[in-house]
Parts: sequence; structure tokens; C-alpha cells
Amino acid sequence: MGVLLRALVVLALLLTLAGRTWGTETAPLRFGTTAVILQDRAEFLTKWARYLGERLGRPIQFVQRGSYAEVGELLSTSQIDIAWVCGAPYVRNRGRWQLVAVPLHQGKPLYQSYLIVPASDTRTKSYRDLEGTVFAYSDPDSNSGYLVPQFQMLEQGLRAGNLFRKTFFTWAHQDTVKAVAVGLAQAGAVDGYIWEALADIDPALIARTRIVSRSAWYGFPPIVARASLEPDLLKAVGEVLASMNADARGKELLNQMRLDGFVPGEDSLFDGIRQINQFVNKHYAQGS
Amino acid sequence: MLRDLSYRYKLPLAFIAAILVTAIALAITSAAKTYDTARQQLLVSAERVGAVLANALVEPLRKDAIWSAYLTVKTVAGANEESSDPPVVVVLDALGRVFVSSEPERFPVLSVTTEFAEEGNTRSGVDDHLVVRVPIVPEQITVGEVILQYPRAWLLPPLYDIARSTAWTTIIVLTVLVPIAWFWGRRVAAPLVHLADSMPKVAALPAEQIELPKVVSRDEIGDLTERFRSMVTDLADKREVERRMMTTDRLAALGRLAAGVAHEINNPLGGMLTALSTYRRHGATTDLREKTLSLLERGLNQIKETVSALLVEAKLETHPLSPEDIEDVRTLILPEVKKKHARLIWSSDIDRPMALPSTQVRQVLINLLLNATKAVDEGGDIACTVDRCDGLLRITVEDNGEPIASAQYERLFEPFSGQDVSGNGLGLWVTYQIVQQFHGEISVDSHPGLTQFKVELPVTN
Repeated sequence: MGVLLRALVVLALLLTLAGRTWGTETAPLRFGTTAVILQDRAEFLTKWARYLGERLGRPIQFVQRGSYAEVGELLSTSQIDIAWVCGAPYVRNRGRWQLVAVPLHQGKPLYQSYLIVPASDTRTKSYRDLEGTVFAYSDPDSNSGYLVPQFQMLEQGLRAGNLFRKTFFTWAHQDTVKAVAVGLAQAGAVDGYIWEALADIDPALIARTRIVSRSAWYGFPPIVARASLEPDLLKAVGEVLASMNADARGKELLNQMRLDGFVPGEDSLFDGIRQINQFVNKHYAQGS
Repeated sequence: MLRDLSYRYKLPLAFIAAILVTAIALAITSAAKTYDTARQQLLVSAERVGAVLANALVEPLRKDAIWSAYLTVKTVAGANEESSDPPVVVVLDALGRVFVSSEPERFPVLSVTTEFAEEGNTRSGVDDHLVVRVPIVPEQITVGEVILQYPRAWLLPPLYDIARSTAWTTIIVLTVLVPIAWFWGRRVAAPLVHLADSMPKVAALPAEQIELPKVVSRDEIGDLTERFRSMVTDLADKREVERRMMTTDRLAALGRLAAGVAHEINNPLGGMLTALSTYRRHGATTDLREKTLSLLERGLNQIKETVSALLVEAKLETHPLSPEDIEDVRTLILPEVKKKHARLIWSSDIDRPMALPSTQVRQVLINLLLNATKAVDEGGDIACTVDRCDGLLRITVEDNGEPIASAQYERLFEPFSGQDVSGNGLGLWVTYQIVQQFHGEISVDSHPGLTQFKVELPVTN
């Protein structure tokens, strides 16, 4: 009886200790992704998760949601640890999110927003020609797919509310390209990087669209962490990402993303977005 | 063309045609039925799909979520992406404008389409399409409408199946029935064919040598065969009667000829015998001897003439017929014609010698003209035409005297027929013999006002 009781206590203790050790060491790092990268690529995410997990010594769990806002909310409330978000939510959540890394596209941590129309439309030269059309945005929290076109229209003295007959969100840059290609929308604003990547992956789709104009350069959608993420882990994740282009597997994965690599990145990269965000906010706040 | 085809082929062909017509009629009927069923099924399934879509589109319509609505309608239209002609889905909002469609380029967002404008008709055929309209009515308020348009071509594959299976069935049925039809058709046609084959033989062969078709049925063909058999038998009987009659006729003609010849010879013979008897009784005075001998000579000459007239000789020494010969005959006959104050109308186109014996042709011409002269009334007309055509010499002699009596007609060319009041009737006999010897033809046509003799002699090269 005494022996059995003692054995049970020891077993319980061992189980508790083992559980704690296993729990702390192997709890996956939850990585939120948005439509800033190409979606519907489960196979790629699995490979990338395995690669990052091996490098980091910790499993990676990708978390996907329908909108930028949802992923942002998960990050802000620490339900996920890191996330690949857009520059616009990043500047709006300054102080709550920490910058982990910025991707390099064509050698630069920058990208553009493209105004696109169906290839059959050879007439449109600027937003001014789009009066009375149906326009596709990607996500209300997107920089290239919403904020930049808002800014460009205001700059030209136009207002989206008067200009278009109707607007809608596709919730993904890829779908904005599709919506314009099939003629559901007569124009749309997309992430230039996504458009270029699609040109590689699905040339037939891209051939049905035409770029009307390219915007100024803005900070590429960064990878950020919740404010409470431990500095060591933050640094470790940043280093693993930055060193991806140093080995073959990492290079292959980057190639699949049509990226050159990751750099630590400066917050000042996103000053451009910050400025247009303020401009647009101020404009509508004044009600002019 | 088809009409002239033998019944041997016509019957099997008609049988096969009947099979084909039946097969086609059946195929058309079942195709129509299949088409109708397929149409009903498509409409029912379209209505079901429309109902599901209408339900799924309530939320996107309320939230104006075009992209999500587009993805929804695309799942319906795109499910048939493989087919070259996918169905079209159009969603209208409460105002009847296009909210979204599976083909945004054809039906742009917010546009108004008149393509489906059919009030109060949820099923309608637009061109080559079937259209189903399902209203979107959540909680008794219509917020929009789903329109599904299916190409009619979707209904065709079952029709092709029908056509294919009918074609196969027909081929199999035909493979079995064509030999049967062929056999049956030939069997039915056989008595007819036999009859048709036997008919021409009736004229050519004696009745005993014709293989008569057997009566195998009591239908029209059997009836026909029966009649044909009795006709052949009757014909054989009739021929026998004719043959006997001909023999009788021939014997009668021979009798008449013998009597005629006997009469012609008997006449001078009587005179001569009387002269001889007188000579014997009264003794040999020079005067009487001379008288008797001269009478005997005249009598024998008369007999000789009669006999030589009966034996018409073809191979007389003669020269080819020349225009002068024709002219001589005219000169010879003219005094006879003038005696009767008749008129001779003469026409001849013989301008060079012809390969015909002149003596015989002259004899024929003279005989015919003498007859005409005899027949014509005082002051009547006689016409003679001699011409050549198609390798023939044609002599036509006409007069407007009394026509030849019908009793005379039958024995016209017989010698000593006793019909001729003014002669012994040897003229036409001789003419007939000459014409026969030269393989020519002689014909008579006589009616009041005109009697015509026509002779045609082939000219040998």
C-alpha cells in the first residue's frame, strides 16, 4: 500500500515535470499570414514551416485568416506570436508590434502598388478615366490595395465615393487580379509584387490585365511580432529569416516566394506609408 | 427509272424501304420523347441549383460582397468548365440590375440586361437556351433573382445516343430481314416473272414448247396465270383452225387456177379438134388444108401465149432501166388513154440508169397503166409517178374510175379468177410475180374517187 502510494506520487511528479518541459520547449511558434503573400499554397507553407522549425529548434504553426484585420487582432491580443502583415497596419499599430524582418524584392525592401485594368481596356490612362466604373480593392487594411489608391485619387482631386459606381473588396491581391481579368471589376489596385509573381506563375491570367500606372515605392509588407515576444526569440527568428538565402533549401523557398531574402529592416522604411496614411486621415477628418 | 425495275428487285426494295421508314419514324418519336424528358430533367435540376444558389446568395447580396458572390456563381458555372458551352448564371439585385454574373464581360456589374426579359415566365427559351429564374426571397421580401441559362446543346448528347442505338438496331434488323425480304420478294415476283418470260414465246413458239407457269395461288397473280394458260390453249386451237382454213383456201385457189388454165386451153383445143374433124370428113382440098393448118397454128399459139404468160421468167436478157424506158412506156400508153379521152398526169424523176431490169419494170408499169386506163371513165384522170427514194424505185399509178369491188379485192392477183370482165386477169398476176421476184412490194388502195397501186422495188447496188 505504502509502496504503491509512493510510486504513484513519483509517477505523478515525473509526469508533471515532463509535461512542463515538453510544453515549454515544444510549444509551436504561431505565425500568422495574410494575403501579402500568394495564398492557396499549403504545400509551400508546410515546407517553409518545417524549414523554419528546424532552424529555430521550435515547431512553426501557420495561422491563416480571411482579412488583415483578423490577423492583426490575433497578433495584438497575443493569440499568435509573429505575423506577415501589410505596411499600413504596421504603421497604425506602432508600439504594439515589433519589426522582425523585411523581405527583399528585386534586391530592395520596397514594392509598388499597381493600378490595373482588363487588357481589353486600352483607353484608361489614370483614375480620371475610371468614372462610373466598378473598382476592386483587396482589403481595407491593405496599403497597396486600398491606402495607396485612396491617396492617389485625393492627390488628383478625386474621391472614390464619387468617382466609382461601385467598389468591392476581394480580400486578396490575387483575387483582385482575377476580378479585373474576368471583367467583374473594370479596374483594381494590387500589390506590385503579387502581380509580378503571378506573371511568372499564371501568365495567362496576367495577360488579361494591363498596368495603367505604378505608384511610388513603399516599405515591403514586413514580418512583425507581438509586443510581448521575448527579445531572444525575436532575434532568433530575425536571424533565421535573414540567413535563408545562405543555404540551398532556404534559397529554393525564397525562389518559390519570388523573394531575394530578408533583412532586419528599419522602421523608417515605412515613413512613406505613414505619410500617406496621415494625409488620407487628415483629409477625411477635415471633411474637405 | 424505278418504275421500270423488275418486280424481282422492286418488292425486296419496297420491303427494306418500309423497314427503314419505320425505323426512322420510331427514332424520331423516341428522340422527341427523350428530348422532352431531358429538357424536363434539366429544368428540374436547374431549378434545384437555382434554389440552392438563391439561398447561398442572400448573405453576399445583403453585404454587397460581390467577390464572394462571384465565387459562388462560378462554382455552379465552373463545375462544367470542361464543356465548351457552360451554363450562364446571372444574379439580379432588388432593382433588377446585374449584381454579379458568371460572365462579367457579357453581363457587367450594375448593368441592366434585357436578354431574359420575360415577365411572369420562369421558364423560357431564349434562342438556343433554356432559362430558369428563381427569385431570392428571404423572409418574404424579394431581394434579387437568380437566372440560370443552359445551352440547349446540353440536350443533344442523349439524342445522339438515341440516333446511334436506333442506327445499330436498324442495321441488325436489316441484316436479318434483308435476306428474308429478298427471298420473299423473289418468291412473290416469281410467277409474274415467269408469266412475263412466257408471253413473248407465245408468238414465236408452238404452244407445246411453251413451259406454262403453274397456278400456285388463288390471288390476282394466280388468276392471271390461269387466264394465261387458257389463252395459250385457245391460241393453239385458233392456229389449228386457221391452218385448216388456209389449206382449204389454197386448194380452192388451186382449183380455180386449174379451171382457168383448163378453160383457156380448152377453148382453142375445141376449135382445133372441130377443124381437124372437118378436114377429115371433106378431104384434102388445098384450100381447106391451108385453112385448117392456119387455124391449128393460131390455136397452138394461143395456148403457147397462155402458158408463157403463166411462167413469168425473171432471167430475161435485159438492160438497166433508163429514163428513156420510162418515156417509152408513156409513149406506148398515150394512144390508149386518148381513146378514152382521159388525162394522163405524168411525173418521173428518174434521170439516170438504175440497177433494175428494164423489161420487167416496163412490163409492170404498162400493166398497171393499162388497168388504170381500162378502169377510168370517159374523160377521167390517170396519174403516174415514178420516183426513187431510200434505195427504192417507187411506182404509183392512180385513177379516179370505179373502185375495185370488194369481191374482186380478195382475188385481185389470182390468174383466171373470173373476176375480170375484159381480160383473163393475167396482167396483175404477172405484175405480182415480177415484184415478188425482185423482193419488192405491191399494195392496193381503192375507195370511191381514187384507186391507187403502189409498187416498191429495191435497187441493188
